[in-house]
Amino acid sequence: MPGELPPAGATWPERRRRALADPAMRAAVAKSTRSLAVKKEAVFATYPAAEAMRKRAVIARRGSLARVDALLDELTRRVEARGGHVVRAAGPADVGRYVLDVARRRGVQRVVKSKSMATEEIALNEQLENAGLHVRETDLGEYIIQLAGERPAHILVPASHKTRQQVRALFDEEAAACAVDPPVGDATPELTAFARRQLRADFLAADMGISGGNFLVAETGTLVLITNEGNGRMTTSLPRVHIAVVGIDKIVATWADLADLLQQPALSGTGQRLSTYTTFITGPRREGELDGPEEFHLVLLDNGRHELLGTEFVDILACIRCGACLNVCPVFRTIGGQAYGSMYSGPIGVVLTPLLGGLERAPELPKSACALCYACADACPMEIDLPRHILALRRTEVERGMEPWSDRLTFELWGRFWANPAGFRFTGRIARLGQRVYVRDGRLKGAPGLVGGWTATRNAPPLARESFHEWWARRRAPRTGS
Amino acid sequence: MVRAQLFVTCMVDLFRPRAGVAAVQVLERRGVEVEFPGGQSCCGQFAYNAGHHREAAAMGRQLVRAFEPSDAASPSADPPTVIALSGSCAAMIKHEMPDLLERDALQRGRTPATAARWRRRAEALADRVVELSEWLDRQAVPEPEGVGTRAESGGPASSGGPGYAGASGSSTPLKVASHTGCHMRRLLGATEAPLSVLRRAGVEPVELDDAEQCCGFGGSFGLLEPDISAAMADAKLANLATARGDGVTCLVSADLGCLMQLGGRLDRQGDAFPMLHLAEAVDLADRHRLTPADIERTARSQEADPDAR
Amino acid sequence: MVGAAACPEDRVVTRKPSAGSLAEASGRDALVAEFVESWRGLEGDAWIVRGGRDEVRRTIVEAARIMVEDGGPATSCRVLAWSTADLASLDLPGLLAQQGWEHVPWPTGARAGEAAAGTNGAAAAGDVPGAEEVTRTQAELVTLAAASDLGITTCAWAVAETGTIALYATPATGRLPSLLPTAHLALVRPSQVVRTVPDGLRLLAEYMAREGDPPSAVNLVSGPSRSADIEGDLAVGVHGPRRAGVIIGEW
Repeated sequence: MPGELPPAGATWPERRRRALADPAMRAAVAKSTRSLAVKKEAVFATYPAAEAMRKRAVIARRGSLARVDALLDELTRRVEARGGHVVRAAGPADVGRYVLDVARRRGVQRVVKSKSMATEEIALNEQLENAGLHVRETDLGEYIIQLAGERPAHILVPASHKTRQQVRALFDEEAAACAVDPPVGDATPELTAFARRQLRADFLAADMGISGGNFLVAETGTLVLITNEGNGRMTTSLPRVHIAVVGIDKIVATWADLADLLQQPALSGTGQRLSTYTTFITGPRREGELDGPEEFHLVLLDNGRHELLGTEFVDILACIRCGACLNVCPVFRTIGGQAYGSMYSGPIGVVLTPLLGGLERAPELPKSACALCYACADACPMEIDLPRHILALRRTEVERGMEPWSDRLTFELWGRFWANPAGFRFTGRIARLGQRVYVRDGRLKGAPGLVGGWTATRNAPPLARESFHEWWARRRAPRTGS
Repeated sequence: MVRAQLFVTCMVDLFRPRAGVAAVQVLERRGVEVEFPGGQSCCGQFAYNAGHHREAAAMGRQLVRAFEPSDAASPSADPPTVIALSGSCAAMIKHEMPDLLERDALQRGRTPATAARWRRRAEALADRVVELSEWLDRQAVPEPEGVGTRAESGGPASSGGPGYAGASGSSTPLKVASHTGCHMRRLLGATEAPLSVLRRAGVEPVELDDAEQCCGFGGSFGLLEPDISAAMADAKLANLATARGDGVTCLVSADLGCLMQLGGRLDRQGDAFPMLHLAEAVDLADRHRLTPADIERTARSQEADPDAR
Repeated sequence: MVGAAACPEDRVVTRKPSAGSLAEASGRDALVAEFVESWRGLEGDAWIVRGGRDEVRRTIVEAARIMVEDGGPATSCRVLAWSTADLASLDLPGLLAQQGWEHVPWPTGARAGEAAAGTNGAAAAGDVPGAEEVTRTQAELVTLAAASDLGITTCAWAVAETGTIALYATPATGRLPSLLPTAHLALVRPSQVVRTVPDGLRLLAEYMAREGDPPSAVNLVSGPSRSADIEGDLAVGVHGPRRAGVIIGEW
């Protein structure tokens, strides 16, 4: 079954225009991506064990993806044996329904959330808020964009497009709304201290914590959370109910597999050897324990993932959401994450968004948001062949007739004429004639149709008076007789 | 004498034939008998990247036919090397074409056997294709003592070639900026070859800051997304501006697409900076004419053969 | 305050290793040194103690002062500490009482079960004779933890390559002391330090084989909490402890 993603918001031309016209955002994005890319390179260069683990992790991931259903069954049995609850959710509405049902039963009014891309995918916050629950994002970056009412700008560092002045302004506004002291200045420690105070109050008052999950270990029914701030631990320790919403693609067979995978998100995402807090959760609190949630619920989200198993795109499910591809993508560095209109941006988003949400939801992503430079293929620790997938999606769009008829005609004629020597010569001669109307001061400043895209922002030399073919025929062919 | 066939690429053929002329002269000086199969047109990458695989395959088949040895050729001879004047096109032929031709044949209803034959024919071409700077780099033999002497071997002359010391006429080597396109960098893995070739040509090649960042050409991307493409070009041109401040005299690349992207954007901004295809740079160096004045003249020239012999 | 600047290097070496265990000891020392270097590199505080129980006790007080008050007198300090059998010989209640600091013991064993059930059963302050028996409900524990200056725990194992300590959640070894107080101090025995994360996971596998289950929660902690969400600038002490310290020694 195909999945469902929230709508993009604005149109692609509008999102693109906004992005290109925002120098502060572009500078912030350029800086943060460069910094993360450099850190990743540095850790792999100075930590010899990392590469060997990564290679084994690639194999482990592929292995799990080949056995998803059996592993999910094993996982379910084990979680339930520990007193946890497991439910399969086909799409956004199923998750919303289940969470609200639990909330109702347990008298939940206040929810804290730690970072979860899966919950963004299904717009869970919106569903809960519409039902009257108070939902607070507790990851610092997610907190910032929640206050701003925006979507995440990067898979790993969602507020990386914001300057500290902008963050301070948001915090000032929030302080006024809550009648508390605002941060003193915009230095990082002061801004962080403000968030710490505010969010602590939310943690301690919350009835339910909702988290995502980085991995699921079938062998023992264990949820793995990889975080740095401590909000992941708070969200899953303090409230009496914990619900984890996790994509089915996160399943891993054994602890041996996990051993190679565990450090990969930190290594490729932030250049750390291990994230500050790596948490293994197996069911709710046990008898005699005084902390930890009383109830543990695991919602296994499909939303279009299952459909990809066994297809040429299956390796996309090996993504560990590290963001390494974003950090090297020249298009991402130029337009930032929000221009993609999806919580999954950058190269992974270009492929995952149409695969989960349908090609019609975001045709511009594979078609236009990639220069096919292959930097992402080099950067991906899970060796996902993103360029190949982008090419395949472009082919699909052409086959489905999803381009303007004029472009289609251009390519068809182009192909037909250039597939034989006479046609090639002919178009060359026609173009040389036809270009005269576009040539000014010895250069091409305009062009018809598709090629006009070039001259919108660049000049071009005119077609040469004599092509190489013609030069050869004139100067060489008689001599060599070829 | 060694035989080689030249694949000039559609962009060189139509927009900058003098890069092809330069390549012919560079190769002939090195003892190559250059053939130019007239049936060649395009590797089809443009259409392929845009998702038009049928059209790309049609162009690919034509290219395979154009370079296949004719029936009259001696069966015992090895088919000649095919030297390509674009890293991007070489990558297309080597990495995508075999799969593409096989898949397209099946899609058009051909038998698996026919499709497999197309794959083999494409693979045969792929095995023979080498990008120009990689070819030049492989021909290099170590320079004997004393700068500027030519090391003779039984086969092709070394690309240490005719007196590279003082190729620019001055005692300090000329600085040139070198840009390696994305496909050449990542698919061919050929980041060193252009630099080695330029060094042997007697200049000091300098890579730009953020060398690995795409210039924004991207084939169909450049046409479909002019604003983003231009923004990426601007980022690369900012790095070039820094290099210009450090004294580089021109930009050299083995990929004409990248040169047209950066040159075209610069031109639109009312600025100018000489940009040469690698073949042109080596040709000038061969003739001891790799000076700022000659570089400028070559870069500006619209003629196919500015120094007709 | 950065840990490396605040805490002293090795303490007094009082014992010569015996001949047979020389290689083992130096291998052990190297692992401990690597662990300390990794931990400090993550803005954690570390103290290596070679003097045994008394030295460890003195260092706990010093560490508390540094982490809670940057080395100041710390006239008042509330400490939430595990009170497992492992810690008994350190007499934390006595030590903290000496400083005039408030000691909040994490309840143990059966009494923990009573507290969990919300009954008025007393939660013992460890098995130390003479310690006060205080009633703590669950809600009170959370409030006290959130208002504590320092949490003291031991750990299950530690990883040298990554600067990590592993904490298992069980009735007597709750999650909160390493999470809510402003600072967290973990006591580590040198024999607990392994080289890699997979080495540590093997120890966890052994635990699971013995107990039949993983603990309800395992936390691998690598230094104090951090974030780089604001302009990519490193912020330490976001939600979790602002300072994280380890004392490595025998007691």
